[in-house]
Amino acid sequence: MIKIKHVSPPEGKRYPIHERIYLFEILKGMGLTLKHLIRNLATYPTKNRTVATIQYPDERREYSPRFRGMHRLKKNPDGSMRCVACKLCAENCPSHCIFIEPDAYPDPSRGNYPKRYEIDITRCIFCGFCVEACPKDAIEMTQLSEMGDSVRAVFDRDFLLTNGKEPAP
Amino acid sequence: MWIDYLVWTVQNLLFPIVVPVVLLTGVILAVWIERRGAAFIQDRVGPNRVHLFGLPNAGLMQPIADALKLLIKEEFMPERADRFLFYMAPAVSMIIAILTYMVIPFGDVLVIGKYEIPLQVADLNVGLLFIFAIASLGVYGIVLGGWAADNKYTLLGGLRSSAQMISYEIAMGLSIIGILIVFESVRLNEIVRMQGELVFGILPRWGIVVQPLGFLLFFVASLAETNRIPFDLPEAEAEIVAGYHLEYSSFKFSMFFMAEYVNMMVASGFLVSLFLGGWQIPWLPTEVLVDRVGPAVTALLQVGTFVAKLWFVMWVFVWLRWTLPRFRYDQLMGLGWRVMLPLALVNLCVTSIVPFVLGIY
Repeated sequence: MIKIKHVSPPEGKRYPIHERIYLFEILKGMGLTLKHLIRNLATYPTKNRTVATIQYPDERREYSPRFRGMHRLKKNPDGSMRCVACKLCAENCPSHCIFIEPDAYPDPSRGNYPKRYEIDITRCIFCGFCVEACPKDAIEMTQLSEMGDSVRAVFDRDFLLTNGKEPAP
Repeated sequence: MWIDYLVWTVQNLLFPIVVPVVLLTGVILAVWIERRGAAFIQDRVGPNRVHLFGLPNAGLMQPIADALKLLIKEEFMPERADRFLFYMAPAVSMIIAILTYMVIPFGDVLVIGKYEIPLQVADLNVGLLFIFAIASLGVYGIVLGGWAADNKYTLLGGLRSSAQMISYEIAMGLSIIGILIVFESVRLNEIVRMQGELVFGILPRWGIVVQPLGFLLFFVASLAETNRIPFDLPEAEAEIVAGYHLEYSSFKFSMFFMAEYVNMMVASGFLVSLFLGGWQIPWLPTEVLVDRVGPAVTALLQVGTFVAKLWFVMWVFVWLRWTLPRFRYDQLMGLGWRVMLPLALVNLCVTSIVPFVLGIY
């Protein structure tokens, strides 16, 4: 909660003299800033720093487990793709950023697989509807948030299969 | 004899070159202290990335990197600017800032054999008046820079600066007169030497001890003269963008920037010389030191003491900057004319009367 401190003088009265000449108030303020400085300096070399800065490339903020980052296509235990190219994710996508070109396995009992599965990451709004829509639980969103790149704006199938820190199951 | 030439060289060539170089190097340190001090006061980290040769130095090289960046920036010149004055203004600021420092002593007269080397660039017998005369010119750099750029914000900055300088110079001058009455000299080295004595046999006779109100007034006035927060109305970035140096870029801007910090160091050195005992080590007069450790070590110790005091005052400047907000313009004028000036006059009267009452004369 934010505490509110009223600094206006009481009705019809002026500030007391020691506040009106400012000097002691300035010294009090300087004491406050010095307190912050010393506290921050003293804890800077230690583990529990009091400075609020997170030194980004070196330190990272911990995201919520529900964070929706970069997509990842999951695999079956035998290494085949879980995706059956049903296009439900593409249909659900509010920004139409998923493009799927289905193909059939040579073995008719195995059904379809996506020959091309592309996510135009520059259009994606990371809403997670594709994950919700997937009947095969084949797509998920990882914790990865650093997708800045100069070449790959459209993530293709093989990239989506391998990205993320942990290897695909 | 060759040693005569050596002494002459040190006094007349080495000091005038070394002191400005030290001042400009000091700017680097000052900027670093300002930025990292500010960061730690505000619960941040501050610039800690720039290292030289991979040596960890807590970002000490950041000001150098900034300066290099500024030097390779585009030189911008407003279309309707007064070209001559536009180029002249930063130079005026810088030259005057460095020139003011020349009479501030950083050590007692170094006596080696028959040679006497005053540890200051110019031991003028009008030292204090010289500082006032030259420092007052400093406003020209700001006003001309503000006027020459042909921009309403720079002009406002320049005007504010001149009004502020005039208002606070009066209080500053009057607060100094108390010191002149106490120490009876305008030669700065003389004033500092007098501060080595003791009052009541215990306290060093520093200006701050004999003239506490004068110290306060002088300190506030010197904050105003150096355009530091809470008196940085000439550049008030929230109101008039950047004030007088708004249209400046590249090297000309860095001249203004460095001049501001050199001015701070001059103000600190002046304050230390007048009120904080200059190069005096408390309770250790020069004669005692020379007796114990010899003249060279004495000089080193005294210069070290002076530098330490100077940087302490610089730190207080930085500290105040990140503690206080900026004054409103009417508050600034009110403080200058309705508070500082009467207080300075009171201080002057009391200082004049007290010696007679105590029967010193």
